[in-house]
Amino acid sequence: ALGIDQENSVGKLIAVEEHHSSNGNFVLNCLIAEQVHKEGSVCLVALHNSFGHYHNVGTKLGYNLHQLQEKGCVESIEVLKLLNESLNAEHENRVGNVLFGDEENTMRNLFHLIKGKTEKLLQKRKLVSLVIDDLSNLLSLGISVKEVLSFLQYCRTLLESQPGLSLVVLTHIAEGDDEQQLLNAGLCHVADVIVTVCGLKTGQSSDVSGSMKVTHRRLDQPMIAHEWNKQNLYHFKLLDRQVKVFAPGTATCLI
Amino acid sequence: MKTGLRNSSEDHVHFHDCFTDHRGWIDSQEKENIRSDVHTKGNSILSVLQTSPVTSTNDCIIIIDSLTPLIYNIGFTRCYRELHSLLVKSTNGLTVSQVICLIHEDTLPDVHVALPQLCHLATTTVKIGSHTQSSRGNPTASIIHKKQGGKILRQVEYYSIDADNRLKSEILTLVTPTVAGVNEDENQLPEDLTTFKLSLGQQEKEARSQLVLPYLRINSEKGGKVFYQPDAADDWDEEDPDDDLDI
Repeated sequence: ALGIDQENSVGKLIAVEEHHSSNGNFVLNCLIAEQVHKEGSVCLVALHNSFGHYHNVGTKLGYNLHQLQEKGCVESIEVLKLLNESLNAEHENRVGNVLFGDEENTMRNLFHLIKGKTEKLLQKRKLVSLVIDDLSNLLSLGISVKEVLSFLQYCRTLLESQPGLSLVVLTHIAEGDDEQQLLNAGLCHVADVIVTVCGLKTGQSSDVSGSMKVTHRRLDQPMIAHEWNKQNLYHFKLLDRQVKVFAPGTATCLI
Repeated sequence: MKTGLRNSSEDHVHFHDCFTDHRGWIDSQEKENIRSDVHTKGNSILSVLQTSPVTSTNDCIIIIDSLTPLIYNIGFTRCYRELHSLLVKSTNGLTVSQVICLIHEDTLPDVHVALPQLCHLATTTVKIGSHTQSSRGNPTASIIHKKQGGKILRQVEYYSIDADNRLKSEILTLVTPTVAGVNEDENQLPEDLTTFKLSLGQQEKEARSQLVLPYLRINSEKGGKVFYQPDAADDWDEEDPDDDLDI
């Protein structure tokens, strides 16, 4: 919906900006649903939630992630589990410490894991979508903005070296957190489509969950007046099995 | 980026790929080199130029896609020094006549320190902004150019890019809203707004000037004096209440 699937997202980077007091996960879940529908495969890098969470949400939206994983269409890198293993390895001085150690090594290891999985998926299906949820969690691990941006740049190189790949990255922004702002600015400058999800400015409402702004950066089309960086503002409402999107002011209860 | 540039004279343009594998992560995995003390290609502008194939020793123009990754990788001080040395001396037989850099302001760490320094180093600064009222929906560019004699040229233009990737720009003329008309209207009463008669006739103006307001006394004496008129309920006592004091 919203014109994201109308455009060919192969070789492009979709950035989802999640502002404080809103949850942008639904965008990722909808994009995964879209990819499953198109019979492509998904490589999910889960930093924010466990794989089970995405599976549960997926069943409500109509796809079964566990089944797809068994079939080999979906690969996942559960960073939360990796965290657990690394902590144990660190504690017992075993090999297998992926995440703790030199910052650059951490990012490099993660990148190589991702690269391996995407290559594996591309051998089976033509369309692969790499979904990263959520990049700003890497900052919480103590990794500096510089390393995370390097990691992002390497993921972008995958877009060129592996045709058929598309990238979806979610970042969280909280006001006052400079590192997150820097990371988000760096991401938005290189993204082709930016989806900004934020809560309503005036508070909370039972009819509208928040507002969403979609910006298409058309770098391959001429920059004419008003067409450049076209922005579309929508309001959305999260329901149990779907997400309703509508223009501001046209929620069903208001009409 | 290469697809965006359609130029016939491609042999004049050398692309240096500092984007893929800028930290040597991909190479080093194959060599099983875990210690990445080897910061390979693209880590500094000078090293890139040193390894570039030089076909001619004419003046060359260096265009840097984005300074932010460079600043992140080698630090701002080193980046500044390298930019400065590019302009001042020649590297590998190459004389640099111009360096063009792109900076995304919001991605720079410590932007309030870094940006003024970079602007100071530059002779021409072009600041791109979003569209304003007078730019007819096009984005604007404000240009500051420091001439060698010390003069500064300042200009604001608005630009658009057409289908052939050609830039069209025009000088921005500020559209000032006509203020004069508004001032005149304020002096006159808006008589046409209601059916009530808001203006005064001649007789009514005279009557107004002759009117004496009931409680206003024109004070012709010097100093202040309190005028008090007691009501019927007031108990006015002429005596001085402090008479019985023995001072």
